[in-house]
Amino acid sequence: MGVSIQYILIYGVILGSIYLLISLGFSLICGVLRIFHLGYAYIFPLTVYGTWFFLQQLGWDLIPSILGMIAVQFAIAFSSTKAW
Amino acid sequence: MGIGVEGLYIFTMMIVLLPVILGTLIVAPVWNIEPGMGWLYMTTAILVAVLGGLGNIKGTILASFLIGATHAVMCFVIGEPRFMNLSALILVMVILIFRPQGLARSESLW
Repeated sequence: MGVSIQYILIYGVILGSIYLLISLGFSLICGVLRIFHLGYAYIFPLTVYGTWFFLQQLGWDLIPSILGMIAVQFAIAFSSTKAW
Repeated sequence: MGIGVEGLYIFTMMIVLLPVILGTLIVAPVWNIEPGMGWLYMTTAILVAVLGGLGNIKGTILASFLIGATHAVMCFVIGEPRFMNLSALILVMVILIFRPQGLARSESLW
């Protein structure tokens, strides 16, 4: 045992919270809509690159760029779910 | 009349994005960013959701802290961070042998 107990506790809680946030979405889609959503991985690079686009190219502040990215995400989720 | 099913699908797909965006924006300044970063997060999310029973929220909470503790023990106590994902996968396989519906009761479809 190379490290003390507080390393394991603190890092366990931090990693567990991060994994909980990103897997609540998958579990919710699978339980409510019964869709094994294998296309779930598009959300992660779209989040970071969308925020970076609004920050760097258009020059907005932090919170308006996050809101712009959320609007783009909602538009993509809406247009991929609606049965045209 | 009745419940609009298509509106429910659209609403659920939009609500699901909120904790995912929060979690990704928290770890983005610390962990690396590349165009292929979605594969690692999605496989971890599938593993956690399968362990905790598909569709069960309490099981997902329990399973996420279990896999987080496994990763922390593998990384700091044993000292081999190369085997983090392998140890989580072996843990899930062993638990699924003895309890195939996950830790909590999964939904009744499968």
